[in-house]
This record gives sequence, structure tokens and C-alpha cells, in this order.
Amino acid sequence: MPLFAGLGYALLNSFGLAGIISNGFTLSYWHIFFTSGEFEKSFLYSFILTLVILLLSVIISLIICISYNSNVNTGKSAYLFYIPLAIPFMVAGFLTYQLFNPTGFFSRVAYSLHLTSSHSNFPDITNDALSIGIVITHVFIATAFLTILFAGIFKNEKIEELAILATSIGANRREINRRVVIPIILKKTFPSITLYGIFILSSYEIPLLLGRQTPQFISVAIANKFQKFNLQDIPLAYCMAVVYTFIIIFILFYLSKRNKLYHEND
Amino acid sequence: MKTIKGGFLGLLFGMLIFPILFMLMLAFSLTWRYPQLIPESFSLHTFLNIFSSGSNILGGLINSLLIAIVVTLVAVPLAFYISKQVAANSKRKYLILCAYLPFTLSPVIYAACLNYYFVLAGLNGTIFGVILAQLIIVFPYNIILFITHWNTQINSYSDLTATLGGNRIQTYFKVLIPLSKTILLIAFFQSFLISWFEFGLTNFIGIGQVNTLTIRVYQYINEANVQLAALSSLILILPPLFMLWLNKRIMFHQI
Repeated sequence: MPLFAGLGYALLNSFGLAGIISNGFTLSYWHIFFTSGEFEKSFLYSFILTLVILLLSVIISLIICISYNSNVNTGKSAYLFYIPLAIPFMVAGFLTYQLFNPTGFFSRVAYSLHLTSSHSNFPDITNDALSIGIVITHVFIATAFLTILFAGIFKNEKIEELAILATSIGANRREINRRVVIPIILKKTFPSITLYGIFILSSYEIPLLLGRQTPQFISVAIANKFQKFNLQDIPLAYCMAVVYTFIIIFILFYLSKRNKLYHEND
Repeated sequence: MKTIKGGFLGLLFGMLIFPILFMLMLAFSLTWRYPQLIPESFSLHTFLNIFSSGSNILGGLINSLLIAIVVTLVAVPLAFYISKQVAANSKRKYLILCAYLPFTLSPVIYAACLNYYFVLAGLNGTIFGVILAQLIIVFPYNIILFITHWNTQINSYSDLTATLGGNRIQTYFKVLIPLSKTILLIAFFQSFLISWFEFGLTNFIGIGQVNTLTIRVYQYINEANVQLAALSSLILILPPLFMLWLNKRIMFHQI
């Protein structure tokens, strides 16, 4: 209910029917919204980065899970995979900045190895055009999460036994991974991967600390519009919030329709 | 091949532990100028400052703890009870879809949309407002967590208690809660962590006046106070590390 109340107010504000500067019904904010292209740029940028992060994390997690399954599932080393999950996004962003900025730790390592002659030679990885800092930080956390998730499926779906069965009928290691292990893991974890993708798309702290000025990650772009001193920007921010909310509702509704969100209990 | 695999595993473990070690080094460094690889000098000065009167970190820690504990203690029992009703409802599919929305939306966008009502109620900039705002996210999260718990078996136990003459309170306290101990503990841990990690929503509804640890970290980063930012970050990481360890132990025992 609070969500719909918030969405209702956002809609009223975007049509000039509520808020400090409301002067009666107007479509002017929506006109600016559709003609400025700001939302599309931010959303597309966030969406592409989310896909890149998910793709890299899924590939790395699959490699770790297939190669080191026993280390992920059992023993003391299994606890290590939980460390990135204990790091809040804000701290993760701060860490990446301290490690990768031109005077950060890795720049110092590059200098001591004579790979660079000063901090200015070190490549821009934080607040950079390609958003490498955001990708590194998210991939670090997402890989830990997905590795634990995949390892759980590996165990629960008895994939090891299936692999032995496949070997006994003549499949080699490569075929087992391509036709048995990877399809089962990806099919079982598709809803969780999609939901995690939405979390990345909605993330705020990491792009706030490591992102570029333009285009901005969607949450940062909307929040900045709300916090600006220009009152004319607020209805525009509500337009962006409304459209973003409807996109998320659509994705969740689609997943729900395909029974990917919730399974009936036996 | 085995050596390469072992080496890669060692590198992987190194990468997982390195952030904590690096943060410790940052927090206790006194001077660490470029291009030095390790700090030139260490000091406990920043750490001891936490305990000084009027310390912002200590204040942030107390606020974060208070908010996380209240949010957890309210959200988990309430969601435990409500999720049972949701699971029994014929429209549960749509109710669950609604429960997914608050925590899949960006908390900061959600906070922006709700801010008007918080201003209207005079709740923005107050701890109570932040607690209420976080409950709006943590409560539906717990509904999702509990919903798969209400399976045929547990419902049968509940029906059996009613058949044997037990009232609703007895059903909850003598049957359902003992049967749900593990999932309840996981819910308590995870709710605490969501609240403990929260920044965007707290910053928006708290308008910078509710000083939590995540807000402190952000302020220290903006002030370029690296030592204090690292120390606050360490304090922010320690309880989740302990809880995740405990959570994992519980899950292992369950399996």
C-alpha cells in the first residue's frame, strides 16, 4: 500500500497536480521527460552495465563452482565466500576507490614494479568513462553471491551424481559441463539471477561513489534531480521515478506470470 | 594442472580476505603518502577517538544498532504472522508480487516517492521516521522469506493443534514457532543486515539528521577523512561477518 500511495503522489506531482510549484494539470513535465532523453540515456547505461556485471559474474561463478565445488560447499574455506556479502555497497565503493584511484593501492603497486612513473600514468578506473570501477565492485560481490547460490544447486540437484552417470555413458568433461551442469544450474537459478539483476539496476551507493557525471546510473540520476535546488526538476524526477517503477512492476509481473517468482508449496 | 588450480584457489582466497586487511591498514595508518606501499606509521589515535565524548562514530553505531534492532523485532514477528495469512489466501500470487516490489525498487527512489507523506506526518529527519521507512522494505522481504515455509506439513501441524483443542496462541507458541526456529533465526539475521546496510532510504528520509554508521561513512568519504571512513567501515563489517558465519552454521546444521 505505501508503494501505491507513493506512486499516486508521484503521478499527481508529475502532472502538476501536487507539490510546491503545482499550478493545475499540465503535461509539460512529461513533454520535457520525453524530449530530453535523459531518462533513456541513464536507463540504457544502467541496463547495459547491469548485463555486463551479470554476465561476468555468472561466468566467473560457474568456473569457480565447477572447478572448486567442494571448497565452496564444505570446510572452513567455504566461509571465505561469505566475506563479500558482509560488505555494504557503500563500503565496497569506498574500498574500490581506495584501491584503484590514481594514488590508490594498485597505482602504488604499479609504481613500485616500475610499470608507471607517476600516479598520472595509472589508468582511470574510478569515476571513469567506461565505469570499470562500478563493474569491478559489483562483480566482486555478485560473484560471491552467485558462487554460493550455484554451489547450493550443485549439491541439492545432485549434479555430481548426474555427471558420473553422464561419464558412464561416454560423455567427456566438456560435454558434461555444457549439457548437464551449466543448463541445470542456470535453469534453477534464473529467477534469482534476474532478481539480482534488478538489485544491481537499482543500486545507488556504488555508482554514487564510483560513477561518472553523465550519463548517471538511474537511481543516482533520479535522486540527484530530487535533491537539486531547482524546483522545476522535482516533477521531472517524479516522471522518471514513475516510469522506472512501472518498468520494475512489468518485469516482476512477467516473472510472476511465468511462475518464476514463486513456486506453490506441496 | 593441480598446481595451477591450487594457485588460483589461493589467489581467490587472497582476494576474498584482502579487503578486510586493507581496511585495517587504512584505519590504523597515520601517514600513508604516495608511492609508499604500506603506511609509513601506524597509530591507535583514530580508534581511541571512537570512545571520546561526542564521537560521531559511537553515535552512529548506537543509532544503527537501535534502528536495526527495532526494525528486526517489529518486522520479523509481524511478517511471520501475516505471511501465514497470505499463504492461505487465494490471491497469494498477486500479494506476493506486491511484496516483491518494495525491495526490488531502488530504496532511494522509493524513499523519494514516499517522502511527501513523511514530511506531512512530521517524520522526516527523525529516528522513528527512518525506522518506519525501513520497515516498509524489511517487512515485505520477510513475507517473501516466510511464504515458502508455510507448506502442507506445517499447516497440518497447525490444523492438528486446533483439532486437539489448542487455541491460536498455543498453536503459535507451542507448535509453529518451535517448528520455525531456523527460518526465524535466518529472518532475524537478514532483517538486521538489511537495516544495518541501508543508506539511500535512511539518507533521504533522515535528511542527514539521523546519524547512522552508513551515513557517517559517506560523510567521512566526502570529507576525504580516509582513516575515519575505514574505521567506520570496519565497524560496519564486523557484525555482518559474525552473523553470516552464524547464519551459515545454522544452515549447515539444518542440512
